[in-house]
Amino acid sequence: MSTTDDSTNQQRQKENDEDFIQFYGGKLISSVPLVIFVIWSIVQTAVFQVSDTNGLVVGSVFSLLIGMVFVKGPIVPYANAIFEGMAQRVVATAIIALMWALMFANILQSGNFVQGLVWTALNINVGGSLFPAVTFILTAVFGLAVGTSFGTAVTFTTLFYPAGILLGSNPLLLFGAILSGAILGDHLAPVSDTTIVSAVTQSADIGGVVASRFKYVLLAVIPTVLLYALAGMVLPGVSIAGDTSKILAQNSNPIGLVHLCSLGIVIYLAIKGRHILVTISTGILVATILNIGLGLAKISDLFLLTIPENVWSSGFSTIIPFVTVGSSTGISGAIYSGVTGAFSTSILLLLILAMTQIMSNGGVFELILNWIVENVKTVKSAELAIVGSSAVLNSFFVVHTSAEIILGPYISQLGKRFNVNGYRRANLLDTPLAGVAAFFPWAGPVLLGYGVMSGTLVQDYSWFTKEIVVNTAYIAPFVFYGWFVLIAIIASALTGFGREYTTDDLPEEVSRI
Amino acid sequence: MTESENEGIISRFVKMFHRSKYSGQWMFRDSKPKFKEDDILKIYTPELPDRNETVSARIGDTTIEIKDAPENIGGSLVEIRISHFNDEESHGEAELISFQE
Repeated sequence: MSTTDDSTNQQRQKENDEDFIQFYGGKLISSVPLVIFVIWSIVQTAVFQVSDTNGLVVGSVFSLLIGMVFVKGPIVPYANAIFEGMAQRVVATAIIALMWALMFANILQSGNFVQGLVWTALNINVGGSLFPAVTFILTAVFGLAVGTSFGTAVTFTTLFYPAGILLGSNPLLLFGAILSGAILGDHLAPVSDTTIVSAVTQSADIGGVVASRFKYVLLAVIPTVLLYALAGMVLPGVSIAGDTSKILAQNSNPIGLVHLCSLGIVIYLAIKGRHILVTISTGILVATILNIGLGLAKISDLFLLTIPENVWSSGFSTIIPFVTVGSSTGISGAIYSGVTGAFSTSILLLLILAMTQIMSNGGVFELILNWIVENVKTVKSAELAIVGSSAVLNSFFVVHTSAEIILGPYISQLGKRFNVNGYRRANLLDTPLAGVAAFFPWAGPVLLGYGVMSGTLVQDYSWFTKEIVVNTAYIAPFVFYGWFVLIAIIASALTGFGREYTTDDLPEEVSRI
Repeated sequence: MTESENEGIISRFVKMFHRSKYSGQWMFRDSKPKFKEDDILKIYTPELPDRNETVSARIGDTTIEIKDAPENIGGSLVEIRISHFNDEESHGEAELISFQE
């Protein structure tokens, strides 16, 4: 060992000591901020049924403040850990990708993409018994395009749920199909935040992760479709009266299918390994051109500046298409909503990263890792430990991206210990998430879908009584995709199906991200 | 553009059904992959090596001892050349070619 190496090691040791945070009660106490945050999330969303990301941001700030109380000695390492966690490249990548993906999703929605999908369902003569199976497929296609299970669940609950009920579908089965499609889209979409985070935290490129994920998705999709078709024939619908044809006609327009091009281009470029910003920006550009060129949306639908009437610049409203005069001033439109829709989640991600950095610098991950290393002796048990950790932690989280960011470094270390490669690690991390993402009443898509039913739908349709609103406590058995994909990944860990080592294929880089 | 960047979805999908050049396995991978002498591998060394004299890296449940490895090699991506491999014990020895921290 050379002198240079010795001094390097000494310097590294010194740096580690400076970063280390001591807590009253030992290393486990470093997890106090995160534990408090999880409790806050459960109480806010599950107990009080309040789905508000800003509330979670307040909860995370509160949790960080409480954590300070337990610091032993100087507070500086704790404060430094907050900044260190927030400054990680992984979160910057996730925030930018989330913002771009939301813009793309909103532009597609403004271009009647969902109406195009409805038109397709109507023209292949789908009845109430087959409607849940078809809904699952269409929801998955949309989810694949937009990459967000939250937005997909809201959109399809708004449009497909009342249509399916009118056609005679079983309410729980139909809502389960919507949730299944939403989480499938989120699971496989290259533009999904969970796909991106799972890839980035495992140092893998997104295209490779999506391609290697297909096999698990296929294993789950086939039985899911069959079971929805079968259950649709067995489970009864609810009796209601209403003008089915009118409602469906209002939400049916084949021209929206043109956005399959926008979707196809994004998927193609992502899988070809293009930079994620280039990929989604191209999708945004194509979707915008199609919207405006085919008259699906106006420029003002994408971006609109509403200014007061009595200002000197109000004259511009006659010559600039995205400026208008109105009493309620402000900015609106699909692009604006996409950008601002990412703000709260982005801040939340930064704060959660700060909490996990505190845990890291407080030594709790090392403690857990050492415990696992002592108990995990084989690659099979390591993979099962990864799947189990992901399923359990994601069960408690509303924002699953956050759970993945917390788990990412730990899974990376555990997987690398057995030289499980980045693609496989990303799938072991993200697939259990898809399994449990819609099982619980406090899960984001379930919460948002329920909100649409009990709010918008009850108000909008006279025939839509509160009895038709599903009890989300009973939804888990009907989220078939969740069950099948969970079984697929557990079976995969047990049998070695799809296992890849670094010697098989080492992901090239994250520089592409 | 690298080779992997050129890999399209079809080629990666088909690759799942390809036989591994090292293990001879198809898509169900053995937990104990096998190697042969002079194979050059890129692998990760353990973050917390339970080392005494040599670093032992694992590929699945196969163990490879890296001879004459520096102490700061833990957690690195290393390039090694297999110098000896015992199929029955799933254990091998290798020389270090290079590593990056």
